[in-house]
Amino acid sequence: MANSAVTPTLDLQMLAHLEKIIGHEMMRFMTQQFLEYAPQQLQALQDSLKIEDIEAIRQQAHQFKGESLQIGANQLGVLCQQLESQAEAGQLESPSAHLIKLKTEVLHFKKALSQVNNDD
Amino acid sequence: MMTRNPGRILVVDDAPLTRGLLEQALLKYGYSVDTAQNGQQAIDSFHEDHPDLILMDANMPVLDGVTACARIKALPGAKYLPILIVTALMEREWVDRAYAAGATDYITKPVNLDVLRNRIHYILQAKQAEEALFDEKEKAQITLASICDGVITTDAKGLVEFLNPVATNLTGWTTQAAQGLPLNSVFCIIDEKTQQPIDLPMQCCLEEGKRIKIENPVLLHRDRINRFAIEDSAAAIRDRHGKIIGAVLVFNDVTEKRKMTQALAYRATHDALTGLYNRDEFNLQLERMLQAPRDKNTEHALLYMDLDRFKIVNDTCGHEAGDQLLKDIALLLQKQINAHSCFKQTTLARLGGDEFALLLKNCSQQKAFALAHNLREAIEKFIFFWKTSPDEKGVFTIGISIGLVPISTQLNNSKSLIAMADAACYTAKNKGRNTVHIYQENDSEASHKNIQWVRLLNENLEKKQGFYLFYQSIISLNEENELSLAGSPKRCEILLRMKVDSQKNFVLPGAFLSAATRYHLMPTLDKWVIQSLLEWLKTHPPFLAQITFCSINLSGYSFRYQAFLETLIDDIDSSNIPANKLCFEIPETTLLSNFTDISYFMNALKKRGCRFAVDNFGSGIASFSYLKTIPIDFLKIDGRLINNITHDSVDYAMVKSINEIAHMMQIQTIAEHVENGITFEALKKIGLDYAQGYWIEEPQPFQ
Repeated sequence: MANSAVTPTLDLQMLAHLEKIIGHEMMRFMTQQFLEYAPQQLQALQDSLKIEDIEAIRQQAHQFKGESLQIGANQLGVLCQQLESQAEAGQLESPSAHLIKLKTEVLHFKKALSQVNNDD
Repeated sequence: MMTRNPGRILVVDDAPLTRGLLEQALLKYGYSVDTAQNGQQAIDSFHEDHPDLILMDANMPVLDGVTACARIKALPGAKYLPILIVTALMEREWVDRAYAAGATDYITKPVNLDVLRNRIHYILQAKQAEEALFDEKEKAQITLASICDGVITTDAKGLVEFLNPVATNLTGWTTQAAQGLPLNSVFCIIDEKTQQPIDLPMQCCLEEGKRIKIENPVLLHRDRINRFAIEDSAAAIRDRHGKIIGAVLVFNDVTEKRKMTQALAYRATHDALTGLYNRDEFNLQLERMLQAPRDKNTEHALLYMDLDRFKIVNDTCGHEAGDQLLKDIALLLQKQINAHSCFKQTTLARLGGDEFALLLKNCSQQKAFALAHNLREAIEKFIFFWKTSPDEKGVFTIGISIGLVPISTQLNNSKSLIAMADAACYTAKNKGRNTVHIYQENDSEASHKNIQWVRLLNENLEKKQGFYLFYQSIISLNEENELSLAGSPKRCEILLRMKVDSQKNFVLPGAFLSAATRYHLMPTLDKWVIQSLLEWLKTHPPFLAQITFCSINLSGYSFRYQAFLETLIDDIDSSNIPANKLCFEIPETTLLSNFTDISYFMNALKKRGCRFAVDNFGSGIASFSYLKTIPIDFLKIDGRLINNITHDSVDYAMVKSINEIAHMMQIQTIAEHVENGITFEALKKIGLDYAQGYWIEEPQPFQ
């Protein structure tokens, strides 16, 4: 995924598939929860960066990645993956910039999601 | 499965969203779901929720999924619990660790819910099959442990794999000790007859798939002391494709069963008193021998033996002495036969009474004759002692009459062979007893007469008017007027007559009794007399009303037949004739030789009111002592004594004392065969109670 030229912000196929299984309402609830939870995730990352707890960063990135990919926030997942890999290697490259990228992508995802929901 | 009991799944993930999503999806698929946030919680939940499957993230804080998986797997009851590990695509090393920790399978993140669904379905189905298989196996193990058959299984090479507890008990081998050993060294059997070890033909079973069963009785040889009679069978075990993968041997302890069968078989074929073969078995063996293929030169011999003077012992010392004598003789005969090693195939039997038979297989006439002489001599020399009283000992010698029939190839009918041997024995008796006689053609003529009587008896028994009943009055010696009562007696003895031709010629029993006795017809004749009398009394009420009692003779031979006694009692019970109108006469000698049987019979009938008379008293040893123990009403004093009283003072004194003692014992006396008036008057003077005889009244036919 990381190697593909353009990773979509929202994996529509994935989303549709999930919705088919757990139903529209539950899907909306899940995405809503994800969006509500995302700022907390980002905040936790920022806190860890501040005290340079690399292991905490790796774990937080790992968890956020898993959730993102599971819900179809593919680009967000890629960004988390990069952060996790760097943390695992013990070398963070401009982590503040990366954090901003993550924040921006969350907004992108939110927008894409609302577009899909409005379409419905 | 999905609709009824789809299963309970524990979802373990630290990410709340993933956890929630998986939970929702699994709920939609119909499963019950519990959740946990890390490995530690998963372990706790395992204890509380008893999940059917755990779906667990690999990479978690606190306790990662793989470590938790290993720990859960180590817990009791988790052996068959499937654990499905969820890993990210890049985490290849987690996969290997997961398998090493006992995980059933893995699935990658992000989880494809369709894949998850199929994988869980498949794993649970496999688990159920595994459990069913385990249950089956456990059930089989429990069954094998519970059944009372011993079971041993082997592999395809015939090496022991398993013994159930019964097999362990019987062979003394446990599964652990026996595993890998050849079957024949664990399961040692020997032929019961030959005592030789037998190798189970397991090759037949393992190579050809044949079911094997050992037909001869075998013993399981556990050790020197413990041997069990067993029945066994072995069959091949095949896999699904029909390939033989081993054998199963099933056997059970039949020690008790075999003992019982043997005892029953022994009883059915042996004489209870002497232990020799009985008549049935002798006939069977003779038949078998005659049917076996024979060539021209095959010779066998048949000996028919009848003791001489046996009755004296029986009559004077009682049946106990007679029985002991028969036992001694049987032992003596057997010993003599065994002493000659050349007589290998012999069958010695007691045919009944004092008659014995010996079958000599592959034995020439000369050899058989020599043996017969030997036996005769041994019996002749034999002296029998019997304590007749505390300080008196009876000493007896007896003899044996032997008839010998050489069995050539032309003879093949067992019945005629026995009849020939019997005839030869009869001739030996007529030649003066205690001799051996080889069968000659004309021997049969002597017994031919007997056989003619038997035929006549049998014919008349089937005819309506073959036999007739007569009666002779028994009159009181105390009442003058009874002499003139002829035709309407108050008491009478019933007598049997046989008709021999169309004229009114009757034969007295004396003519046919010996033939009837020899050919076992006495019970039939006795039965005929009783049934005819009961019928006659029933149809002639005036006669029945006037008579005090009818006296009926019973043969000593009839007492040997339990069935005879039972029918007799039934007949009396169902006739409605007052039982006290019936008196049974039993000869003194018979009484002595069948004391036990007769006293049982007497007591049964006495209860019903029947009377009993001892017949021919004084012809034997005239012993009073045994009279005390049985319910006797009358003594009939022997005719020879009675008719001697007028000219023999000793006989006079005997009759007088018999009369006195009888009266003291509350027994009434009857004089038999009174032939003249002088005797009649003498009897009156002595004080006897009753009398009968030709001088008083000749036997009369019933009208």
